[in-house]
Amino acid sequence: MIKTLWKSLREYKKTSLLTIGLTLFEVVFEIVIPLCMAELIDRGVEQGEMNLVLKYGLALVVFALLQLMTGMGSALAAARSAAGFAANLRQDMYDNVQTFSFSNIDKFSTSSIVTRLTTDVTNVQNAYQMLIKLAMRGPFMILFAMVVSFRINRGISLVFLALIPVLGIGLILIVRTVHPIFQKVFENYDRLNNVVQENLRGVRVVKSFHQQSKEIEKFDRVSERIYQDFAKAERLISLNTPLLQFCLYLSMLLISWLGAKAIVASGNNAALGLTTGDLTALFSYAIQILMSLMMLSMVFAMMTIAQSSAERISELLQETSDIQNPKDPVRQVRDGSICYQNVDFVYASKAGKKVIDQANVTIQAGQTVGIIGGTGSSKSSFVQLIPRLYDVSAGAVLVGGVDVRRYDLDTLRNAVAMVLQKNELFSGTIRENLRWGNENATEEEMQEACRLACADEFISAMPKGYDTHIEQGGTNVSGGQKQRLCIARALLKNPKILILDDSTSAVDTKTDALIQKAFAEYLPQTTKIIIAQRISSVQHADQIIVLDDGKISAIGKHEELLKESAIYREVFESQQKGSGCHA
Amino acid sequence: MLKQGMDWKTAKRILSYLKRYQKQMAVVTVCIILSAVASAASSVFIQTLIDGYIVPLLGQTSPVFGPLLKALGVMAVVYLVGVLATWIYNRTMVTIAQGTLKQIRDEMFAKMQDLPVSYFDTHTHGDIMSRYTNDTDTLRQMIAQSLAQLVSSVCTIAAVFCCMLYLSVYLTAIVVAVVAVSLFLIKGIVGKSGYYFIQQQMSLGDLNGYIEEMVHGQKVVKVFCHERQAKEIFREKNTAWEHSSASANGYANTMMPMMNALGYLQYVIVAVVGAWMAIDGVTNLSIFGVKTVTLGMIASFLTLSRSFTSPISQISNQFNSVVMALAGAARIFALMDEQPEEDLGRVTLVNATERNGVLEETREHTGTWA
Repeated sequence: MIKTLWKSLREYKKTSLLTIGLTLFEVVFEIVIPLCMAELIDRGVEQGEMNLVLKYGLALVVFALLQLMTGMGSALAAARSAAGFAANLRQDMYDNVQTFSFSNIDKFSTSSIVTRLTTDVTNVQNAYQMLIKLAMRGPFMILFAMVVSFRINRGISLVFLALIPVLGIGLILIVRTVHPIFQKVFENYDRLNNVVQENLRGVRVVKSFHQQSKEIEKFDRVSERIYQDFAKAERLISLNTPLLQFCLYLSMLLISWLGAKAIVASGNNAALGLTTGDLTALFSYAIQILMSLMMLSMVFAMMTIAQSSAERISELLQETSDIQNPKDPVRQVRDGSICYQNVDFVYASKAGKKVIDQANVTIQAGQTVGIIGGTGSSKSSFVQLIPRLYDVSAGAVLVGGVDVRRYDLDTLRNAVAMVLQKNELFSGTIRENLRWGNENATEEEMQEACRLACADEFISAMPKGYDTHIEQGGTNVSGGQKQRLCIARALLKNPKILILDDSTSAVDTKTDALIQKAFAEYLPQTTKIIIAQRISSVQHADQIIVLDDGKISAIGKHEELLKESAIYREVFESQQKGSGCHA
Repeated sequence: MLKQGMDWKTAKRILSYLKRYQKQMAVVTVCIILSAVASAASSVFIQTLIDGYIVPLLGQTSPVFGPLLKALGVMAVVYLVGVLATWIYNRTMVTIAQGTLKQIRDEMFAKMQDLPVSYFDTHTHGDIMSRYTNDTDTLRQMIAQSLAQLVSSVCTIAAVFCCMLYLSVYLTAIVVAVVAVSLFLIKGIVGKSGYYFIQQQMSLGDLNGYIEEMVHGQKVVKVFCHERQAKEIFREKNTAWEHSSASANGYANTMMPMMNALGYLQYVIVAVVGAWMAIDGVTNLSIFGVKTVTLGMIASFLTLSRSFTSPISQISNQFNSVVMALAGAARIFALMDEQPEEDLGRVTLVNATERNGVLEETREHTGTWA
């Protein structure tokens, strides 16, 4: 895990080293200055020597200034390193997410990806900053203090050594217990994010169905779980300060006892052994060691929280997309012909169920193909195999005579335009949204595409026209308007294959027919695949595929299917009855 | 607005959430004092140990260590109380901090349910979500650690101040003057740091919004090969965040070195002035009357003044987390203060059913309304 995160450190390695270097200098001054202060008192003030007072005073000011400079330097360097590291981590994670296939995204879930990119990175940033600021200080001070106290009296100093393993074991036990709890906490953060996200996107639904109190209950439950787990974990971590104090006080008592005996034995004679002055010094070094250990334990507490975050980040960084470009990819799509050869498909997470079972279809370039089936008959999955949004589990899908897996992904996806079932427009102007289809589209091209999609009249009716701002999630346009904009966007790609996944469901029958007519007239070379619920949308197709539970139940033209397919006939008749008018 | 003083309004509002924990806060305060007393006792103990129990035994042919053992026993009890007090207040602060976070989260969500739809259409979802996670998290560190540290430091400062006054009013005045000057000097840093922390939280909210929208629509991004543009826009927002974060933390980090340096400066001034007073026999004013200044007294005063300034610099160490918390809290309170939907209706529809020719209210779903 550390290796993965290390890679993101890149250009900030130097600043981090600078921080550590400057901190070391700071520490040196921190040791020298108290000695200087002691001398000021002992030799200057207590002896009444004014010039010594001034001399040591001046030295102190100089040291103080030097410490200030190194201190400020390391402060700024630490901030820059931590922020830079965090920014790199975020960028690397986001870039990786861009390579993800649909199944990779399904694996993590949207809200979890958001949490990892924000909360988890912040935790790691704070921990890293503290680490480089304080990590050097602690060990260095402890080392220095130990060396000096050993020179004073070996026996008593052994007391310090004995306590460190005790502390170490205590801390390790705390880490082990706390780690799994923090994992649960962050999973719950994901859940919290999810509830909030649902409520934000579905605010109209929540209000119309008066579900506010139910949603508040849902939120409160997750919030409660976070509270319980986080509090439990933090309480365990809070054990470490009392543990530290306990060890310090114990060592002070032991030093007092052993020291007293040693001084009495030596008669307070420096030549013979321990003196009272030495004992005072030993005590001050004991406190010094405690302070440093306190600092380290603060770092340690932050590390524990950050560890779970670091693991989640590393997981996201290490995920490789399961749909990659092949070696020597084919960079040109010959035409819009499609062929399914013995295709099977299963979702990775539900490996038992065959979503598509032995599909075999041949579609000529330029044909209009309709796909009909009940809910859950795998229509969307069927077409998502064409632009390689998912890969087949067995068999092959060919476009332009070549297996889709042999194409360069960008080439393939630029040749296949898909209007998804869930229509996503992004916050921005209508023009910006349309440009997703083609960055360099001219005004005429955009207007032409909107005309074909029957979107131009409502756009011109809007006060700002193409500059109208679309809010996040496209909430300020109606469902039908959204669908038509999405179709226009897809048309701008000038694709060889156009797939419409139930994209005219919110459009009225007359507009639907107009769009169909436009396609037939202006896009004769483009293979059009239309998934629909209404038979009237696909009645005039060259071929209609009837899907039933993942299997192709029948293929043919409208009249043939009416005679041969019971399913088709049923759907047709139920729709005739409902509309109350004759076709 | 580059200069922004400490956001006292937000700070007070955060503290108001602690009101329901009054009992626990009282316990915490007591424990902090006990803990501080225990650690202060150790420094006093050293001198007593040497003067009272070691020196008298020197030169004796068969020294009796009994009294020493008794004294150690007493200290052990004091220490034990200190350790227990530390444990209790740390634990209690966790409950208080996490409980306050939960309360704020829940209140924010409940208030959000009453906001008009227009609010949701005009704010990116990710930015709103950021308030539940990123902005609320900033409060955790402040409440759990900084607050306790603050109380402990304030107690120490108060105690030491009294001792200093006892020794010498003139010298205390000098110390206070230097501290006042230091606080004035760092006011500028406080303002800058606060400003950049607000920027940091804002750009984090913006980033959150972008990520949420794009990842939610990642399938469309894939279908339209929009990955490159997505990465570029992300890079821009990410870099904006990086700048504000580096500046915010940078300014906040420099607090401690500054306070330390000013502390040493103050030490030198007191030493020089004190030594001059003692050597030239200047009459000294103390709250207990006029005395002559002795060199030993100067020495004690100097050591004491160290105990005055070191808690102040410890407070400055917590500075980062406090300013960041205020920035996050400001955003949370902004959401809570939004105008809710107004329910001006006077008519309530209820389910009704006919019983004996009279319309009555009922809980069942009858399809009849009145």
